[in-house]
Amino acid sequence: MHLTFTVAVVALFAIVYVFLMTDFRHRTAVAMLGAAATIFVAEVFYGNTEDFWSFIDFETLALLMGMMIIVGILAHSGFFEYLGVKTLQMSKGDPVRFFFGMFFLTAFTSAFLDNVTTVLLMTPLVLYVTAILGIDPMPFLLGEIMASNIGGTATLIGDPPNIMIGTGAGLSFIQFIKYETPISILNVLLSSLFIYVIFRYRFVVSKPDDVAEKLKRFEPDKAIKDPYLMKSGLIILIFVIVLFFLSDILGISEAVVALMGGSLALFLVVEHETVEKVVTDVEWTTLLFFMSLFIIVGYLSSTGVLDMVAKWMIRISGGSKTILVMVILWGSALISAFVDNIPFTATMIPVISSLISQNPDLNTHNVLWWALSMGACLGGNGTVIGASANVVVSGIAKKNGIDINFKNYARVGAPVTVMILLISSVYLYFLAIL
Amino acid sequence: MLVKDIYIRDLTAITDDMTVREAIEILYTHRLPGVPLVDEDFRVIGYVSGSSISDVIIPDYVKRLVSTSYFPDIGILAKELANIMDSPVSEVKKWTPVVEEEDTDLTALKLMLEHHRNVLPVVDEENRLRGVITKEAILSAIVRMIDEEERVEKD
Repeated sequence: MHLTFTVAVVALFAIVYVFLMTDFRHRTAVAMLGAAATIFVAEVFYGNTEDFWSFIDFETLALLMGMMIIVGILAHSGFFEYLGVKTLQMSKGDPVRFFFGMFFLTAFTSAFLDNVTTVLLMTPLVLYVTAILGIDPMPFLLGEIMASNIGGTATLIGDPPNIMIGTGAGLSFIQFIKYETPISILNVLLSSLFIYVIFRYRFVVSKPDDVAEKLKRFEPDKAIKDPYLMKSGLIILIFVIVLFFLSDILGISEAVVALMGGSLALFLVVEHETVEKVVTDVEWTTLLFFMSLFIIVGYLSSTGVLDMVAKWMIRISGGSKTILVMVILWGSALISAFVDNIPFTATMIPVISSLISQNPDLNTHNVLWWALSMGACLGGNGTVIGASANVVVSGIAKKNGIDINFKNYARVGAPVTVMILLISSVYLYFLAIL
Repeated sequence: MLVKDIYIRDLTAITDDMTVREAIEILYTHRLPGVPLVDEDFRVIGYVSGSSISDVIIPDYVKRLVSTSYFPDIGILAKELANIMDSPVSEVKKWTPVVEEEDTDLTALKLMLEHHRNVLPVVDEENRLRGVITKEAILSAIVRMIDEEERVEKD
C-alpha cells in the first residue's frame, strides 16, 4: 500500500469522526461525503476500483431493512399502544407495577424490534399515563431509555451494533441467545430495581380510588387501528423469530430470513397506500449511513492501520485475555457513551477480526465479540446522548416540558451503566477463563 | 377575478393586548374560524383561530398517540386551557399569509389551501388590515360571476 494513500484514508476517517462527534451536520451526510471522498482518493491512486462494493455488508443492510418493514407494519397497526395500554390495565393503576411492566415490556420489545421505534411509541403513552396518575414521569422516561438499550443487547437483532457484529463475525442468532440473553435479563432486572429504589418515593398516586375508577373505563382494543395488519405483522414476526432460532440448523442467514419476513409482510398488506407509507418509513437515511461507514472502514482496514491497532491492543493488555476483554468492554462503553456506537462498532469489527487472526486463542467462546457488543450497546446508557433512544426520549420529554439534560440524566444513567458493566465484566471474566 | 371584488370589508380583529380568553369569546360570538391579530396601528402581525388555540392546548404526547379513544376523560383540555386562558393572545398566534386587493382569487385560494387557513387577512401596501377573504366568499363570488356572464350572453 502507498503510504500517502494510507495517510489520506486515515485523515479522511479522522475528519469524518470529528464531524460525527461534533454533530455539525447530519451523520448520513457526513458519512456519505466521507465515503465518496475515500473512493475518490482510492481511484486517484489505483485507477477505477470497484473494491468498495465488496466492503458493503449487504447482509447487515438486508437484516435492518427487513426488520424495519416488520416493525413499521406493527407500529402502523397500533400494536405498541395496545401493549402499553394492556400493561397499564394489568398494573391496576399501581404506578410501581406499571413502572416495572413498562420497563420489561420495552426491554422485551427492544430485544426483537428497533429500539427507536419502541421508545417513539411507548414514550407518549408513558406521559399520558403519568398525567392520569398524577405522578412524576421522570423514572418512567429514564426506564424507557435504559430498558430499550439493555433489551437491545439481548439478541442479534436487538441493536444495530449486534446486527453488525453478528453478520461481521458470523455469529448466529442462537449464539447470541446463549451468550447474551441471560446476562441481559439479569441486567434488565437489576437496572429496573436500581431506578425504582432511587425514585421509590415518587411513585405515589394522590387519589388512588379515582384512578381505579378511571382504569375501569380503559379499552385497550380501541388502540388497535388495523386488526388485520396487526395480526399479519405478528404472525410474520413470530415466523421470523422461529426461523432465526432455526437458521443455524437450516443453514440460512438471518439476513435472508428478515428479508423474507419483510417482503412477505408487505405482500400481505392490501392497501397500496399502506405499503407506500411503510416503505417510506423505513429509515433509508440510517441504511445509507451504514453503507457509507462500511466503505470508509473497508478502505481503512485495507491499509493495514486497523491491524496495527489490534497489535497495539494485544501489547497494552500484555497478551492477557482477561485484560483484553476488559479493555474492549470498558473502552467500547466509554466511547459509545459519547459517540454514536454504529461507526464505532463498524470500525472495531475489523480490529477484533484482526486480533483473532493474530491470536485465535484469545477468542474462546467468542468472548471478544461479546465484550464489543456489550460495551457498545450498554455504554449508550451512560449519557443522555449515548444512543438514539436516549435522544428520542429526551426530545419528546422536552416538547412536553420535561427537561432531561446531561446532568440529571447522568445522576441515574451513569451509576446504572457502571453497575451493568460491572455485572457484564464478571460474566465476561468467567467466559474468558473457562 | 381580483381580491378587491370579493373580500369582506369586516375589520373584526384581535389586538395584541387581549388575552386568550377574550380571543375565544370573539371567535365564538362572531362565529368565525379565525381572525387577524393586529397591533395598535391595525397592522397585521398574525392570526388567531380555533385551530391555533387547539394546537397549543393539545399536549404534544397526545398528538403522538395513534388514538386516544381508549382513554377515559381526565380533563386534559381543561387543565391545559386553564394554564393559558389569561395569558396574552400572542401565545396562541400563528403566522399568516396575507393578500392585497390586486391579488387574484387563485392566489388567495391557493395560499389558503397550502397553509390550511379558512380566513386570509386582506391588507394595504403598509400591511394595514382592510378586511378578510374566505374560501366561501371566493366560491360564491365566482358562481355569481358565471351566472352574470351567462345572462349577458343570453341578452
